[in-house]
Amino acid sequence: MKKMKKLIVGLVLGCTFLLISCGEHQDTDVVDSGTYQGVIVEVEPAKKEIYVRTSDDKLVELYFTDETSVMTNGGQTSSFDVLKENGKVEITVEKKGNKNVPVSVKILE
Amino acid sequence: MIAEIPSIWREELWHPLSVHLPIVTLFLSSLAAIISLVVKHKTYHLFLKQVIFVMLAIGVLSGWIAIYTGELAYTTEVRKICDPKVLQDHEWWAYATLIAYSVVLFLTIIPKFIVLNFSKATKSISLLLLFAALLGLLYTGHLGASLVYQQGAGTYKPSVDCTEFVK
Repeated sequence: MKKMKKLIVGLVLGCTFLLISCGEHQDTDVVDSGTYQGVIVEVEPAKKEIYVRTSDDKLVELYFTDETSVMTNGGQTSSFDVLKENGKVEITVEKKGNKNVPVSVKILE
Repeated sequence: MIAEIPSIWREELWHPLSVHLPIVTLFLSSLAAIISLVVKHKTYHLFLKQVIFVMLAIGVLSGWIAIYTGELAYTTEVRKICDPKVLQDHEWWAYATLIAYSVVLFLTIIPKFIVLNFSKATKSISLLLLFAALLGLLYTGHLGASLVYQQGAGTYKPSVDCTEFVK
């Protein structure tokens, strides 16, 4: 009986861990087209994607396209690699369907 | 300018190429499990047990390959479709379903190596998981169909006059 309990608990914990870590299931928001300031919550270099928490507490998921520009505080063009978690940014997004397309991301700090 | 027909071997199409085998085999494993509940004849019951195992083994292995190709397609298609939330749900349900089927396969294989005193319980858990996973499989498939037929994921839209297809 003890063995069975261990097996079930192990399976349940293992599966729960896998489900939490797999896939994209953050509760994100889709905002209107415009410019917003916020903080980068997560950077996913493999998917060229960032999550930004805006000052009005919206979590915006942004998948970079070839047209998305990244700019430094001084206004110079930069690349996706310079974006870091907890960095303050100003994002300009376009609302298309049920998603936000990043037009530009400006690093503020 | 004449548009170019994209390659049929582009990375995002590896997923539809690899996903149908696990759909069929996992579906059959669940179906065989349901049928085995009503079949009492010993020979048929044994046959169904073997069907469940073989279909499950093929389905789980090919399923993880489909997950991998799905991840490859995700990166491209999430930027093209209009509602990425459907794709994210599709991805989550695919993982949940395949994890459930993988657990059943694990529970089926493990008694061959370790003597378990609770084989009745594992059989019940396996049956329950096979049924739950079937629902997950159907819903994942439904979301996949929605991505392709409503949002055009992975598809190429020919030009209005179809000039690129002129031979």
